[in-house]
Formats: sequence, C-alpha cells, structure tokens
Amino acid sequence: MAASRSVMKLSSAKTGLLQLCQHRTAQTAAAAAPSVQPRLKKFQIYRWDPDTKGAKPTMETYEIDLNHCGPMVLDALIKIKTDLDPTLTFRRSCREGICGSCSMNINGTNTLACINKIDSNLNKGTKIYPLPHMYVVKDLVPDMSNFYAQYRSIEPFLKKKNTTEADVGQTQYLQSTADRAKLDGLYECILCACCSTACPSYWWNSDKYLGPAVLMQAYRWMIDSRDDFTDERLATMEDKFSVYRCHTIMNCTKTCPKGLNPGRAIGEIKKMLLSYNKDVAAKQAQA
Amino acid sequence: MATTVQILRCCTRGSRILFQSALLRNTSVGTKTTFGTSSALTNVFEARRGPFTPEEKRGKGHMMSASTHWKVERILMIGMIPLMPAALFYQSPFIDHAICTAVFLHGYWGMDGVLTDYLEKFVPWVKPLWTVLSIIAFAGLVNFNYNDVGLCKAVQMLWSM
Repeated sequence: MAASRSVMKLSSAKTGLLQLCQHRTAQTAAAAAPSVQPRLKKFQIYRWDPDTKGAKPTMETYEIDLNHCGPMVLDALIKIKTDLDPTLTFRRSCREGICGSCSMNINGTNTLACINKIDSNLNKGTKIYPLPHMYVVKDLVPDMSNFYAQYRSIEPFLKKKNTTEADVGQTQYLQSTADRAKLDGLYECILCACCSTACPSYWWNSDKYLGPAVLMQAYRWMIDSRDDFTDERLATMEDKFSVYRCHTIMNCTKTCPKGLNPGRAIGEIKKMLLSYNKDVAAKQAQA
Repeated sequence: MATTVQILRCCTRGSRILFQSALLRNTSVGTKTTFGTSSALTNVFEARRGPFTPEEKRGKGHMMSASTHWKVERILMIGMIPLMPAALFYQSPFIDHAICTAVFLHGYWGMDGVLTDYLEKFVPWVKPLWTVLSIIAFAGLVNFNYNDVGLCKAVQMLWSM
C-alpha cells in the first residue's frame, strides 16, 4: 500500500515536471518569436566619468525594446550595459532586493533598481540618477564611506557587561518572544541608504547628523533585551546633531524600498532620551 | 530672489575661506593627507566628511544637555496650547508677559534650529548675532507690556481696525 502510494507520488511529480518543462518551453518559444510591435522605452541616465579631466556630468539617453528586457529597472540597466554601452557603471549584486547595492534615484524616488518595475508608459522616459547629495565615484556609483563610518560609530553589535573573554560562547543569550518581536521591522534594514539620502536634514548635515538608516540601527541595538549598554548608547546621542537634526520630515519612511519605518525609530529614540540614566552621559563626557 | 542668491554666494565664498584656513591649520600640524591628484581644497572637504567625535559634536559651555533642551522645548510647546486661547478670553499683565515669553522662546529656538541646519557651518557668527537680535526684540516686547497697552490688547486692536 505504502509502496504503491509512493509510486503514485512519484508519477504525479513526474507529470508535474513534464508539464513545467512544456510550459517553460512554450514561454521561451513565445519570447523568441519575432514580436509584432517593438515597445521602445527611453532611459535617461546620469553619466560622469572621473577619468576625463574637467568632465561635467551629463544625461545620456538609451532606447530599449521592452519586449526583450526583464520587468525591472535593473534588467534595463544590465541590458544597456551588455548591448549598448559597456562603460555604464552601477552597483548590483543580488537582483532581488536583499543586498542593497543597486539603490539609486529612479524617476525622483530613491529605490532599489532591482525591485522597481519599469514604467510601461512608453511616451515617458525613465530618469535615473545616483543617490542624491552623495559624492559620485562614477556614473550611478555613490561614495558610501561616510555612511558606513557613521554605521560603525553606533557600534552595531551586542555588548555585554560583566563578561570576560572566558564567558564567550559558554551560554546562549536567551530572549523572550515578546522581546524578539520588538526587533521586527528594524533588523530587516539592508543599509541601502535610500532613506538617509532622501532626508533633507541629512543632505545639509551628513557630516554630523547620523541619518535615518543609522539611527534606526542604533535604536535596534538600544532596545535589544540582550544588550547591556542602552544608557551608554543613548548618551552618545546627547548632542544637537546626532538625533535632533531630525525634523520628522518622514521622507525616509516614504521612500524605504523595504517598507520599514525609520522615522518612527528616531521618534522612539527621542522618547527614550527624555528619561534615561543621565549619569552615564556625564561619565562618558568626562572620560 | 536675486539678493538671496547673492547672499548665498557670499556665504559659499566665506565658507571657502573657512575651509582654506582649516587647511592651513592642518598643514601646520602635519595631518594633511594627499589623495592622488585631487586639489588641496577637495582634501579639506574629504577631511570634513568623516564622523565627528561625540565631544566635537557636543561642544562646550552648554547650560543643559541636548535632551533636556528638547524636553523643555516640548513642555513649552504643549503649554502654549492652553495659553493662546486663554489670552483670548482673559487679559492681564501676567498673560501678556507669559504669552510674550512663550512666543519669543518658541520663535527663538525655532529660528535657532533653522540656523543650525543651514547656515551655522558656513557663517559661524550668525548664532551670536541671532541671540543679540532676539534679546533686543524681547526687551522691546517687555517694554511694550510695561509702558503701553500690552501684547494681547495690541493684537485685539489690530484685529478691530
């Protein structure tokens, strides 16, 4: 009985596979067949070449037939690079919105090129710029070193008190389900910098203001039940620039390609700053 | 519009001088680093971009910590919600002075924030100037409350004109 059932399963799986193969072949055939009407779409892309001395940034227009292109803006960029202009430079890696490499400004919105659908309106071109107010390395590649340095400055890792080197790895740091749930909506951040570079405050004061992405991660470590340094972490925010340059403009939350809410996290930090152990701050200022 | 542009241009020029003087200081200490063929000016820009230490951002000589200041600002703001309609129904020298102080502080801190956001790093002397101007304005308001009809009455007269 059991044997016959497994045979049944196997056969049904086989049929499924066969159907899938047929389906896929049909799809490929459809794509390969000459399309009736080309769907030409214009892409205007910011170009700047650092190797040409004194060169100014320009906008370059490329035309692509959407019938022979994937659905996302990143597909179009890759197609332009392979077919039209191999000098076009941009970052990309995972092509599924988890690495945060291909963040750029598409039609006025900071987003990930890999999860942003190409606007099917053929009369309107798609404009692509690098992330706003960032130093440009080349074409669509911004210099992220300041952003990463700021992320490093909030010490984005678990810190414990009264532990020695010998304690490391001896026991697990357990957490209740409720405490773990607090981290939802925070840990998913991929640090693509879409939110920070959409923030006017960050545009003007990126040297001192930490920006929504970094502040949300700071908050993520402040509220982690396993972390012992909440007050110390808050004390490092004790100046008029790190947090208080946030004026709840909320561009960060509006633009986040992962649907997170950095604006709320910054608000929570401000609330935590109302009532925390200030002695720690005083001690830190003296040290 | 044209004036605004010119003012901003002047500010940029001022900042350039500022950066250049910072560069001179850097060379004397010997911390200047050279990146390929980039000019000395861009080096200064690069040097300014890094994260500042908490001490640098905190500054010195504050009357209260940044978080306390934020708390006081919020309390004042919430306090203004009942104060405004109160002045509408009940006029007295006390309400005059209270409204005067609240509106003044709210405006002073608000403008102070704007200057911190946009102008302070290019024109560092703008903050002391703003404080001096505000003190003169506040003295004027207090004088008006003592020696004239008072703020609430003045607003009332303005609306009944």
